[in-house]
Amino acid sequence: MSKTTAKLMQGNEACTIGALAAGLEFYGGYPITPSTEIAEICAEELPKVGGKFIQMEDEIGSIAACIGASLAGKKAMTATSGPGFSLMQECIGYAALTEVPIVIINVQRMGPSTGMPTSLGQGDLMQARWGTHGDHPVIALAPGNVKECFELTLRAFDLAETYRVPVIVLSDEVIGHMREKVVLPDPSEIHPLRRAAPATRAGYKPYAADPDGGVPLMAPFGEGYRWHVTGLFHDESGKPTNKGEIADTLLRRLARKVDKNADILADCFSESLDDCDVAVISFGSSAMSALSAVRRARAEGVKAGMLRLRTVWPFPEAIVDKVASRVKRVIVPEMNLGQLALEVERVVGCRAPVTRIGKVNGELFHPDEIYASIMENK
Amino acid sequence: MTALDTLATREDQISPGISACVGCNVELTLRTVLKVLGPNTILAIPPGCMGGVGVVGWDKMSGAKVPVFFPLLDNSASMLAGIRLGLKARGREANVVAFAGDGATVDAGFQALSGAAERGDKIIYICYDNEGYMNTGYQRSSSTSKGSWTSTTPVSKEGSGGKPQHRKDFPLIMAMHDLPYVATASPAYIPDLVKKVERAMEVKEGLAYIHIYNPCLTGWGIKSDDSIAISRLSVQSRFFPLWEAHGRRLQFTVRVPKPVPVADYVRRIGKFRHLDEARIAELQAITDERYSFLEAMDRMGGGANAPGA
Repeated sequence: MSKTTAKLMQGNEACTIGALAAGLEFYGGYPITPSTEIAEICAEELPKVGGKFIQMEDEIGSIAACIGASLAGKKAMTATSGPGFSLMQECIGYAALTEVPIVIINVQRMGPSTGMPTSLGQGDLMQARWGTHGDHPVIALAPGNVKECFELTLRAFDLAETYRVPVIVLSDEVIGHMREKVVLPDPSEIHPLRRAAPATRAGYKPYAADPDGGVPLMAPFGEGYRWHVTGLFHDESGKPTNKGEIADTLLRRLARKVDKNADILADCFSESLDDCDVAVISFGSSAMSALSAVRRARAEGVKAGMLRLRTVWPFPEAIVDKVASRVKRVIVPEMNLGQLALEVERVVGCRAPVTRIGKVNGELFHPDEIYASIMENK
Repeated sequence: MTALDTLATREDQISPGISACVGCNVELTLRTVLKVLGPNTILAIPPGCMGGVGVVGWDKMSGAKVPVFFPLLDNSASMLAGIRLGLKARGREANVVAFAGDGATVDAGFQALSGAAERGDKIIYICYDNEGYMNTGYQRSSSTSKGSWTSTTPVSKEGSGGKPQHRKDFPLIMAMHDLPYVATASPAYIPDLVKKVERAMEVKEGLAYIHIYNPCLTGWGIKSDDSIAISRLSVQSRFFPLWEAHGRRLQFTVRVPKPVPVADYVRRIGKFRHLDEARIAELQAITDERYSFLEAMDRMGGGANAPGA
């Protein structure tokens, strides 16, 4: 019989429980508000399950240690917020190019720079996609409540392993610090991906091309598999190259890993979308207020619907496209000056007007603010 | 002018009403240091307690009376290097000063500080070391003492007993940059601190570094009226010796011929509550070893009979 556990917990705690359920074995981090609880819980809990916790000298060290631990064969994670996420960007590019799976939790706060350390922000959306230089694959998931902090962190590890990419869990200050009752599944019903070593050591090609967007298994470093890890462009064995043809093949293959699997990766919550005239598209904590506004409008007979993105990168184009094809208006509330709206506008095109509601004062939307926008020109 | 005269006659460069914890000795340290530095000072205070309590001027209600700015955690020394050269280009002289916690100095800020030290940027860099990240609820830093409880070096039944490593000897690391002036200081020895800030101001070329050891009441579990007594014990137990160095010529400024046992210091601090006698003995042994090393340097520097000792 399945045995679930109900517990009142904080979003940051739920992320940590999700990571441990996924088989987290290594945490490298540096304290920063509003993510610090994740490090503190990992410091307490990881040693109990034979894992390693290490506090680094800064966020550059934190993500670099995670890359090292993942190369050594362990599931690795770090957590941070905007300023630390900025420092991690160089290594996100390194992990993407060397195809080393890692999970980064970014509990967003108001930025840029030191910003408002204890206040809500969602201004790292584009940074999660384009923060490091060069074209690179990345996956980013955005939990919209405490339970999803658990679920999406768990999923983040599987995706990181499956596609050998850095996966970002784009939480925020409200989601991270909010407390909700969460019913955790029976541990026996959680089946995280276990990293399997390649069958043969001879002729191992860690970067062999796969036309279907799959990736070769990753061998643990120092176990007799001959491969080379470098931030330089490289061939199938990992050896550095300056040959344009190989570089072109490599970069296109990296992009294909995510692009070809966009449908599998796409993940959204929706409510009342099928017959709606006004669609509200949002993510994270902004979407909590948005859903409340949508329900109120519905109760008053206005055909409003809600689309909340759980996968933000790759952007779930097909889903947004379907919504755009039948609504009269789209509203995008977000705690920044229009980063999600840029993507929504790109997909919606001329089919419907897109109303941006960007908020940058660090305070969560009141549902009234979004409700008022739904009721305008309804 | 004695230290007392200096402090009695100079204007306080920090407004009243900052929100430091009751009994915080960093506030005392900052007010003391800035009285000595005086109004012709440009001050950088990176993220940390003193930024958080309002010295950088939250809502214009309180703060430093001198020009103050809030750099990032990892680059105070680099920003000050730019300020120094910018001022120089304008023909302006001022004390260019960092007042930074240990996280911004010995961890994230070390690369920037070491770079400035090696280049010889004319900066006065002051570190207030309270052994960790207090602003985020006390996580360990590389300045945290061995055995300390912190929220990332927890104490539990499973056998983890606080931080496994001892604090790095950061002031000596700075001295090994061959700086014109490096000193350690304590809020329990204010005249010594005043003299050291004055010496840092006398430096004509290069970076002057002062490392102040500030036991943290809130983070360490110390009673608010015990602040100075415990700071004094850290010196009198030789746990944190007071010295100064010009280049590699190091001398003690407060000699401790008859030290109190390290146990007397450790047992008054909550974060060490779980340490048994064996682990305190270990801290005593580390303290003795580090002190012997400094004694040898002190002897090479001329010891108590050296000029200026």
